[in-house]
Amino acid sequence: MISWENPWGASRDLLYRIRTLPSYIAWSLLGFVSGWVQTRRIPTLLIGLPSLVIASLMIATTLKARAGLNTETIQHYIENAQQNLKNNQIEQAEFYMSRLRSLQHQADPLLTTRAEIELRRDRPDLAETCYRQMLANQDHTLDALAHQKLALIELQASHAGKVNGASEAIYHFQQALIINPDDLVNRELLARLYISREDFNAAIEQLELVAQRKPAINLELARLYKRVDRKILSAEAAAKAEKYLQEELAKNSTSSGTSEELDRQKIHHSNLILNLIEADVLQNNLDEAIKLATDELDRDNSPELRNRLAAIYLMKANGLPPTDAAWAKRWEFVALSRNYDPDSPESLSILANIAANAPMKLRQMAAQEISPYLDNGKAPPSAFFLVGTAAAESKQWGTAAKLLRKAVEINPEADAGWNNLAHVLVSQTPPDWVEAERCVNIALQLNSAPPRYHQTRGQIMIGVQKWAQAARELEIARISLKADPEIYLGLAEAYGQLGDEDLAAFYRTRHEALTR
Amino acid sequence: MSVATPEAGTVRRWLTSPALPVWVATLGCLPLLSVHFEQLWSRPHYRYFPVILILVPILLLVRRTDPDQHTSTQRPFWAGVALLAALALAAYSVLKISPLVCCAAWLLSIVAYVMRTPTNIWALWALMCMLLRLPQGLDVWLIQRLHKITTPVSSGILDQLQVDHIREGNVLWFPDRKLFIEEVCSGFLSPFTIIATAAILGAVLRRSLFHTLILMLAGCCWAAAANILRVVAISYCVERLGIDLTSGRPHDFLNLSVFCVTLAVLVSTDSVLRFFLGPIEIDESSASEPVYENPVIRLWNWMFWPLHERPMGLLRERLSRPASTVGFIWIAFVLLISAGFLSLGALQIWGGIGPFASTDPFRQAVDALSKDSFPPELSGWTMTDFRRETRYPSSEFGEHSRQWTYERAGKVVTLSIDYPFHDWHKLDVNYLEMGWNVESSVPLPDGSSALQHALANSEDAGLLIYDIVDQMGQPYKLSLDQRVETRWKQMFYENATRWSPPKYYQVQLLYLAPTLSRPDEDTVSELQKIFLEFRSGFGQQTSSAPTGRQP
Repeated sequence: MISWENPWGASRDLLYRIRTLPSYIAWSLLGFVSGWVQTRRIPTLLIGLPSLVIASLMIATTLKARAGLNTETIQHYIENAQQNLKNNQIEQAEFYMSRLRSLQHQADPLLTTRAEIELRRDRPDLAETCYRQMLANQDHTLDALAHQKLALIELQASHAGKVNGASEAIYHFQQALIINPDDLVNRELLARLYISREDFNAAIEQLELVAQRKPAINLELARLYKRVDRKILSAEAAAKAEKYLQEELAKNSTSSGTSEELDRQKIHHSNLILNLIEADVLQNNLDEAIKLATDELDRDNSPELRNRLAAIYLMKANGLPPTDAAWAKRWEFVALSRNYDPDSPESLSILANIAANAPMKLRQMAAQEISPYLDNGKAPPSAFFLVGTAAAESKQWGTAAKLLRKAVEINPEADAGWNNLAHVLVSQTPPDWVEAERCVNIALQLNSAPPRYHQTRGQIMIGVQKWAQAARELEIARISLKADPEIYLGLAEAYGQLGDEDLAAFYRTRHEALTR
Repeated sequence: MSVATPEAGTVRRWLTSPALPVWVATLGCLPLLSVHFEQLWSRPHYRYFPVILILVPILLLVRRTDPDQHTSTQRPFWAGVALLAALALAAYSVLKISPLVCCAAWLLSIVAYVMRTPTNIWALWALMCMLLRLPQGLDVWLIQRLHKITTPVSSGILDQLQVDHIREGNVLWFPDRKLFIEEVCSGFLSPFTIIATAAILGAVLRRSLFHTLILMLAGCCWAAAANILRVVAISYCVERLGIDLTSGRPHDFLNLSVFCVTLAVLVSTDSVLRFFLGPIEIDESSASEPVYENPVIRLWNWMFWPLHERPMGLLRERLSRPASTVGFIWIAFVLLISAGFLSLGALQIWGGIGPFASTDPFRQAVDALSKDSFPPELSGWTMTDFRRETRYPSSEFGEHSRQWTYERAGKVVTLSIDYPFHDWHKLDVNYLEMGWNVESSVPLPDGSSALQHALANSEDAGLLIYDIVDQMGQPYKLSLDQRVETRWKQMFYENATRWSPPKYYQVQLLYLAPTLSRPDEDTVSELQKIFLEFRSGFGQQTSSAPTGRQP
């Protein structure tokens, strides 16, 4: 125990105590320390040790826990969210992402996942914010992706009516391609966007780059070349596409696997064949295309293939010149086409054309073929127009009026139909001047350029004795139709009625000269 | 003056007994005390108090027979002062009808006993102070603060255990469920329970006051740790093992296990404290005299030597003083004080306080509220649903709830009565705890006590309007500035009903907007209108409740 002597001792002298104060303090402190150490019980400390350990652990855990999310945990949550997105479990994905909402720094992978969720939730504006944030971030590794997604969002917005959507989309695709020129997907998407804006040359420029590494795109390129009337390039691209497609076809020749895989292979094969046929068509190898389609029909009697074959026969029919021999050949091709697609509007139009313009025998045969379609109203408007006009030319006014009425009823925008109907209405007995005037007015409203419409209107004006208007309309028609004696006759009558005998005599003389 | 007969000696001994004023004070305070204990019992975090009420008398009996405990000096004067103060405080508590102040008065009367008994029982008296509850909802505030600490830590630990979750306020969301921290941490195992356990441990193990206070402080930290342990255990079991420990027997078993662990850790902590803060024990037989003169050791031992066994010179000096004797002045004083306490007791019985209270008709009326209590059309809104909900007793949203859902033009509003509350209840804090951003309150234009808050979180926006009415259906009134409780005035002057413990009922409107944007002015005005009509309808529904008349 403590047994040092007290420096103050028994003395009560103040000066003495002040003098010995330092040693008294030292004595007190040392005595305390010594006494404290001597009276500690180690077993007590041992019992207390668990609480010290637990407290230390708790403090360490608390400090670690309060430090916030570590990189591993963030990664874990992002991976879980992406996994759920893949499985189309949006709510689960959203759950994982909402854990990371409070993070100060929104890294690109996190923003990508969040944007993906927003897109699935049909909230493109929020997704757009995420992608723009990605572009603003220091990390630029995913900028190409952000631009691509922004382009797609803008594209969608443009479909919904956003004014600059398509331009914005083009800008973002271009930015994405600047960052990663080898991205064929973006390039192809940009090309398709140009196609939708009918900027075919720009689209061709992009697709030419894609086609170098993706031969399948040659077919699309060939289509585009054809649209801009670059036939040689179109044929070349189509030839490349054909080569690629044939290789693909050879690879796809063996069928094995489960029924699902077999179905998939079958669909793929059919698509290859259809594309091959188109490649042949683009190269103008119509006979080869027909052969390929006919051979394939034995294996796959699908409507698409039948329609494609029918269309090729019609292309052959359309490619024929308007000679008598050609009319017969045309009739033959239409018949072949109708074997595969009997009710196609194109074949019925050609049939109507034959019924209107071919030699009599063929005309009758065609008229017989098309007649049921005209009766049940299933023929295309052009068929009604052609057959109706042909009937008018052969002065069958009743039939002509009926067919032409049907033609303009189906297609009210057909100005020629309205004009011809007006002509029929004034030619029939008795003439229907009022209705004819209405019809020709519609024709002129739709298209005021054709001189025949003005001629028809002039004739109608003569019929209703509106001489000045008749003279004006016929004068317009005369500028283009100088060789038509009927116009001069009408003009002579109109000016005569208006009292201008000199002009009337002049036009009468012209009429006689032309009819002589 | 002296009394010669043995009977007179017995009476005098009885009259001068230190326990007599305590018994009388207990009788006088009993009605309000019973209310106080009832209120404590209604809050699960105070349910440790019966242990103290049982433990203190046992320890007192044990220590009275221990001769080592007789180290205290008697101070009759100060005992008298304490009694007088207790009476004054008790009178004040009765006038204010404050059970808490009454309990404080009762504890003050026990001080008189402590000062007059030779046994040193200050430690036991200090333990009895744990019977007081924190006023003005401070206890709930403290628990909520604790949750604010425990929730993020628990969340961090769950992250380390790779348990996927989201934390929003005091709610933990898991992929398939959500856990309210308040619910998880409910039950008897509250921070207050652990602090009280630390206090009991200090008293039973006869630790010094400072030692016990530090142990209680450590208990507060261990309470936080226990809460974290519970949250983590429940979350881990639910998410990883598929075992639901959130309610029922598994929850109780978990609570008990955690409590046992906490108790063991508290004992261990006590050992650490005893090692570092234990007194410097001096072998009196061998120690040289100057050792007693070491001021640092004396200060250390004054702080950390247990109260009952201070062997220092000062105590021995005190013990050598002759014990003070009490005479007729004391007896007269005690009789006077007793009359005062008994009068207060009689006044409380007359007022119908505590066990003498009549049944609460208002509560019965609220319990009976049903779907038909409100019209199918209210301010142009159509009722679509009605629900009764019973939560756990200490729920911050109220144990009971009646909810009516109304709809108009795609807008849905929930009107509810939540009860009972013991005081003003800040509902916006609950929404804050649940992860909502709550804007500051705006009073309703009608000038009532109702408050309106705009709510928003990452997915929703909404509006909250609430008000509190008392058991008379009257708006909440803070009575701090009134010298006498209004009910006494009513009882004296207005022939009012007998009094029963205060209960409050929360009238609430919750509107969640269909979009993220906050409700516009027209919608807010519509909501205010339906809320006022609902509150008025609630008043009408409950005003017809029969009231217990004063006999």
